[in-house]
Amino acid sequence: MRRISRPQQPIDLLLTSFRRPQTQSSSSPCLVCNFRAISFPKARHPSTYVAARFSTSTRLRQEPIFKPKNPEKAKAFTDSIQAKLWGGQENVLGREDPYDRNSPMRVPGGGKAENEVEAKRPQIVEEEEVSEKYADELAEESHSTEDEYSPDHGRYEEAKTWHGLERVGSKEWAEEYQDQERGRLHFRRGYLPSTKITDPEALDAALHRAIAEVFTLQKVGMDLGLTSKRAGSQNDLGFIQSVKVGPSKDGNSAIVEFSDSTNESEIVQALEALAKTSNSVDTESSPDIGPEEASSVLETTTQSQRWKEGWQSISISDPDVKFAVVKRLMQLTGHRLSDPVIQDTNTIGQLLARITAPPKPKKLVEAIQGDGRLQAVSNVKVSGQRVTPMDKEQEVGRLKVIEYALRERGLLVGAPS
Amino acid sequence: MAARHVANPLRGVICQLSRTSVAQDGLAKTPRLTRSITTETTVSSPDAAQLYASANLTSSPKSTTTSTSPSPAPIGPQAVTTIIYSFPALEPLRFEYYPVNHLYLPTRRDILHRAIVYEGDMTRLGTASTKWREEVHGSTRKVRPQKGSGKARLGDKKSPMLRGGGVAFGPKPRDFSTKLPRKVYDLAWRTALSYRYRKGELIIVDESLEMEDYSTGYAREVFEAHQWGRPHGRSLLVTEGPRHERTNLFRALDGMGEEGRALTWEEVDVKDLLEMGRIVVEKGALARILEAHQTDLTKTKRLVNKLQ
Repeated sequence: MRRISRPQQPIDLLLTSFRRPQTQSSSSPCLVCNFRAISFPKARHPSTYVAARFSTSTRLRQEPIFKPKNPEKAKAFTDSIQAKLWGGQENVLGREDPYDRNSPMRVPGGGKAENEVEAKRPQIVEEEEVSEKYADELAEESHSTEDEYSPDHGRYEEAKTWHGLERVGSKEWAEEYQDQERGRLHFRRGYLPSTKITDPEALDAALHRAIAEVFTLQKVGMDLGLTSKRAGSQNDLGFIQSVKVGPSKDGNSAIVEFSDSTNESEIVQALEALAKTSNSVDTESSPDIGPEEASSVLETTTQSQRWKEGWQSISISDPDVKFAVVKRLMQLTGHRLSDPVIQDTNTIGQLLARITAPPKPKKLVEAIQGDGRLQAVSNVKVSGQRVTPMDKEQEVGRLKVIEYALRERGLLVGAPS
Repeated sequence: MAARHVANPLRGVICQLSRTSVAQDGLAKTPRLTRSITTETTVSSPDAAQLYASANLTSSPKSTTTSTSPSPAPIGPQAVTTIIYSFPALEPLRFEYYPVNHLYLPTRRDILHRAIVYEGDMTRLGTASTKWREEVHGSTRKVRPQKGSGKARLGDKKSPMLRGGGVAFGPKPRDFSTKLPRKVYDLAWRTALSYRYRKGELIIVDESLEMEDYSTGYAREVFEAHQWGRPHGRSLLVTEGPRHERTNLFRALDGMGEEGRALTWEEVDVKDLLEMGRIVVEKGALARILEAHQTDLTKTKRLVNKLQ
């Protein structure tokens, strides 16, 4: 913002015209210099400070209009008047002057600026008293006052562009502001964790965990839905990683082998306890289990320790089992399995292949580069972007020559030199 | 022509048989270079008992199958599995089964195209209107004599030749709508839904899609959490209840057209079903859509009456 220099403000000019003493002998013919030659601190009448009250300068605004000679006496007088007005000392309202420098209502951040002002004041007073020299120091003074306007002296950086600045006043902003005022609801997270697991080993571990839990419950004859219920007690099932899973003899089901016989009863007890607590827990609320936990499981075991031979052919075509496995797998990995995938999947080998399959490339060039067959052909080149005439010139080394010739004729506009 | 047919009545049949055998051989030998219009038609069929049981939409078949390889689709009803989700958490609640001829039809682009053209024609307002020469206000007095002026022959000043005159054969309000057999249109509806199902872009929600808050910010958070928004191809939300029963949803999505749309089941058409990245539909809305578009599956009233 362009600032009008102080002496040009009309109130100052007015003040100057009637405050200037006739006898004042100033070396400078300049009106401004004459005005500044008046020593403000010596003047007693409050009207002297009118200009200061209109100023945006921090220093000048700090000057109080009225300074009592005896502050204690003045305060006692004020108190007695207030007590009479309000009917007693206790009832006095608004005793704190919010504009007072020591008021507790002031913003604490402003303290630093005030201290700086205090520190500068004696110097400034001296400067003003040396009135004759002021004209020479005018430029310097204006420089120092400019510094006062920046509250974060030294740290402030002027923005050259609007990037990164807060935008205020758009329709969206107004809407958001109203929502904030109203205290709108927030949607934190859905049933699935926000991040997907992509590491194949972690996905394998998650699948193993889901299968082990579901088939254990099936063996005991409990509700399979318990596995994906929200609860903290699932964290206690750390031994699940040492469980070995393999296909049953008829191939329709899975056998879950526990290394220790107590483990099976433990898992059942833990899930039973969970069943009791989960009745009171809102099933809509988000689960505690995240992908981080599942990935931590994999560190300790390898695929061969988790599975028995032929584990890929374990059937999940029983709808209840399939649903429980799919749901638990979604919860553990963050992958949403679509309906046709579920429809087509009947074994856990297929299920694992589906979730570990790399995502479809979004661009043709990614697909070709991933394939690698075309890149091996000597007379085929794969480019990520359109091959422009300039690319072709550059390839044969002619672009530099063309640019030089154009620059020589002054025709190369906007190109990097 | 007739004489030749009479002379050798079996000739046509023999020719056709030979042609088909050649064609079959040729097909068998040459590799398929182009994608068929009916892509992704392989059905891994569940057990027959399961299929018949699941023709009823709410049933949950208990019987198990061990088939792992896809087999040719048998004649008769089958079912496809869908997950029913809660909203807005999108927790899987249960499996439900829909008949194959509802949600697993082959993708027929020709039928979809006909349905969309039909809808587009039907939607045209056709309000363009101009005045022909008899409708323009003015006298029918002859502008100048027929002969002798050295200028063109003219009748009245409302002639289409003149400025301010009428428009020759200009547009008049009319109905652009074309016709499409009801059975074809209904098949197109179910084909569109099947296409979505096959691509995994049909999300069925158990109860209502109503949001807890009417703010756009809340809806944006829901869309972001489920990856339904602009970077993921936008989403169409189809409700069963009318707008006044889903006020929060419709109010929230009113301000975020770039992320998705919400429509009631009565407002949706085939083109809407094919437009965006995915369809999120209330279970009730899907049932109503399927019920309203199955004339090619059900017997007509006339036939039923005759049988009675």
